[in-house]
Amino acid sequence: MAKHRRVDYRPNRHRTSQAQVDVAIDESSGLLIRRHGLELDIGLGPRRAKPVKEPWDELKGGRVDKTQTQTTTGTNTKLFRRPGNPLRRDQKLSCVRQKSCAVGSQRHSPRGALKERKTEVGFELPDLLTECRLGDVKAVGGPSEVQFLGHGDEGVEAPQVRQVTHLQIISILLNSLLHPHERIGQTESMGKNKPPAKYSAVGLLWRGLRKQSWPRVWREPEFKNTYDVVIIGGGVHGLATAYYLASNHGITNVAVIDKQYLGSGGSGRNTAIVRSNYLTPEGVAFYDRSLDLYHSMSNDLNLNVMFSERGHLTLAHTDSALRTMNWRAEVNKLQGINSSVITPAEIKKLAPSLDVSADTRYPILGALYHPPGGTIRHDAVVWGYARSADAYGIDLHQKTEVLDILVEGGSGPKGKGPGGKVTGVRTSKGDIHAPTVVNCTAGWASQLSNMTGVTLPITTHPLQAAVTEPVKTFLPTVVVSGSLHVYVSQTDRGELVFGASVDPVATYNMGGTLEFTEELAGHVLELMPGISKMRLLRQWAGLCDMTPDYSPVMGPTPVDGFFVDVGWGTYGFKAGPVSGEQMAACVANGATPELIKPFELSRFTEGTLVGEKGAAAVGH
Amino acid sequence: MLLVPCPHCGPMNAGDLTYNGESHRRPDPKTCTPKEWRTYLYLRENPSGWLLENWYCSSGCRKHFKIERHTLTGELRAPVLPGRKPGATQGDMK
Amino acid sequence: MVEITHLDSMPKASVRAADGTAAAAALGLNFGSSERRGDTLVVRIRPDEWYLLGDGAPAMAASLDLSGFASMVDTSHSRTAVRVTGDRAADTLAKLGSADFGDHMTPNRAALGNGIAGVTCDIVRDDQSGVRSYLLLLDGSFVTYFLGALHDAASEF
Ligand SMILES: Cc1cc2nc3c(=O)[nH]c(=O)nc-3n(C[C@H](O)[C@H](O)[C@H](O)COP(=O)(O)OP(=O)(O)OC[C@H]3O[C@@H](n4cnc5c(N)ncnc54)[C@H](O)[C@@H]3O)c2cc1C
Ligand SMILES: [Zn+2]
Repeated sequence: MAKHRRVDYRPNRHRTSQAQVDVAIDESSGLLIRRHGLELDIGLGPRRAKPVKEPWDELKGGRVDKTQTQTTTGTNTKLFRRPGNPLRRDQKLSCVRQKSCAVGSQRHSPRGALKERKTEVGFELPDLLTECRLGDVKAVGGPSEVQFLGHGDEGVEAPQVRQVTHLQIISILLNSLLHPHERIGQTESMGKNKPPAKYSAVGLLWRGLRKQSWPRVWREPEFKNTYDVVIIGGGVHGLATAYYLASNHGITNVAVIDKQYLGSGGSGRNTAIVRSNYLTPEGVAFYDRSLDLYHSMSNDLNLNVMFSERGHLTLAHTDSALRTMNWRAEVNKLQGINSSVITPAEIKKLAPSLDVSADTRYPILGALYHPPGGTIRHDAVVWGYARSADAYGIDLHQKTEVLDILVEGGSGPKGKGPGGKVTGVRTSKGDIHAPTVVNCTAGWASQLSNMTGVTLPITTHPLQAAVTEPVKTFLPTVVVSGSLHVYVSQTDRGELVFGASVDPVATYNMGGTLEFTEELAGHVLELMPGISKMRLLRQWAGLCDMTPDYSPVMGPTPVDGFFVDVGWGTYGFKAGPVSGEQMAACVANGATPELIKPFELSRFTEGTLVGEKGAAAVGH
Repeated sequence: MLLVPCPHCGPMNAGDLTYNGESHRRPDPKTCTPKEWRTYLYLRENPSGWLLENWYCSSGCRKHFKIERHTLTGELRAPVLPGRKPGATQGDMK
Repeated sequence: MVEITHLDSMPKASVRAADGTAAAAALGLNFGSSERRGDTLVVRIRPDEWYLLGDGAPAMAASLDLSGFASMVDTSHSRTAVRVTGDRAADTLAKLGSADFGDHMTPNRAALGNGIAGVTCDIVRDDQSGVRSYLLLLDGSFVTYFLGALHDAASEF
């Protein structure tokens, strides 16, 4: 006889009451979500959903809304609802999602055509988000098991926001007094093969007093038909490569081409975490060089990139994750990287808002702590490189799309493919002759490489991120949890910036999804139950070029003159400076530098992969 | 949110399925060279457009199936598979 | 009202049988439906898989002709069952999964596979003397978490 056991309800621990969301359906006019007196139109049928905003719509209107932390991009989500199955008035928000799917329909109407079932219900997520608090949107139920990401969990850091001393301020002021001619925003040197005019405190004061406006920072160059080097992609990688070609190798007849605006790809969308505590010796050496370059970047580019070395904590929730942390710490130490495993008590000291108690579903067992890790202002990095490259005379062509790459003599169709030689590119503004073309297009890398007949080991997945309203600073480090698929850091302005791992289904669509928001809220509240009343401000996505081994693809390809610097996935921002430096050397000297040898495309056919999944799947 | 029509279960939430990526013909492991095998393992067309894909109905009927999806717009359509008429509708996917 | 019961040790057998085998003919049913035969609940949970549930399952499994491409596994101890009964049972499940639990989609005796609170479950609608009830079959190792998630969902009404 079977034993029956009745389990009593117990009040749930963290969860606050559900969102006060009222969902009503009106078949003729659409679906209304009423919340706190606010009505959201979820148009259905005659009244259509609000037009879907594309990231570049803002640009079309001539206005790019750049805020300090993140570029806002059109974020929207679509819910699907079956017709003839109206949502009930008393249903809650989570049920909206539930209505989205009709499992089992096949059984009762076996030939049901998908079209009929797919009535679209779209609404703009940002509105929804600003009205809901994290505790309201969180998903019911989390992952059923701790997902095992390669070797476990993700990357860490520490709290040492660097203080500028009075002495340093005085020396900056003195310095600018001694060189008053290097005033901020001077334009004389633009495009004249020398470093750009300096931004200085005195220049700032001078301009302020005279109420002068600021000049353009880089030129809008004439379209030329020949260049020595064409770099496709105006993100941090393309611009850094251009900058180092000029500054380290004196090659200045270079064009950087972007189909949108500079930094419109991942470089303007990332969560700006930099660190070097990777898993393989190759990876560690490489990313550490990048950190070095970031350290001196504000000085080198004369633009404050707001590097905040606040430390990076990668939490371990399982024994296997802890084992990976120990392994990483040892690899790191051997290479002279500051990285160690710390206990829950020490974690609590670093980040008091984390729930380190033992009775959570995924108790924190320890963490890899990497004090040199931190965050940086990603837009400033892009602008800094752009401004300096421009000053060297490099042409930055925005809103110019590469439509084809011209190749001769290859073994594939139309003379493309292995053995061929690059002769130039075809763009939306005309053809350009160039013996060397560098592909720095991250998420779009496969499209560009396919134009030359070179197939890459890359699939494009969107990565989503979100940011909350600003609050007083309380989180001094970057916190990453690979098991919970979430990471979080607080900006200087006080917003919490969240990220996760890439969406599992490959797509070039940068729309946001409600699933992401729900899961994010659920997971982050497991780590920090105290923030359930915070509101999300917005959510966005960027495209990531994922490789099978979570390491990049850099250097020459079987097509002569065609170089790639791609496969940057979710971790390419921190590598921008070193990639630029090494790719410039690679292009200028015609030989792959030692530091990036392990990342050549040929490793995929030779079977010498550089497995970084254990250190990069969520960590970025 | 993506609704993927499983030939057995009907439209499923993509989160309830396992995405297995681009559909490729597997070379015969007994006769192919390591290079061919690795090309099959790692290299991808990754187009922005229609793509024939493998899905696994992991929380439904536990069957593998193929479908064509537009990687930019998210539209889905029945795949054209060997031995089947092009233009076959969803209902013919069994 | 929702009542959650953990049917700890309900006998369960899984039968896989290809079309045309004796076992498939004996078990019958359409994919996605179930039937009570004596004290055994027979469920065709997948196109080629049946579950035999309840006290009569061992006897029925033993009596099957497994010739041809057919096999039977006793899953009494690897899988576990949870029953959710009550007028809000569907609402409770709806909070945790994406399937439609309305009567028009999943009437009594319907069977489907779907994720509930992130756990892959086989779900059988098996009303108990007129009261809406669902039998959920899942991997035994998730059950503690799963019951917690069900409680939380149910107690939020
Ligand atoms: C949400 C999110 C969070 C991230 N977080 C981190 C992090 O914390 N730390 C980290 O190190 N990395 C992070 N990354 C990854 C990082 O942002 C990227 O790897 C990096 O920015 C890639 O830079 P890139 O210059 O190679 O490419 P991108 O900045 O993506 O630039 C590619 C450019 O190519 C252009 N382009 C594409 N096709 C064409 C064409 N046909 N013609 C002309 N131009 C074209 C695009 O317009 C785009 O501007 C994150 C990414 C995302 C999306
Ligand atoms: Zn299915």
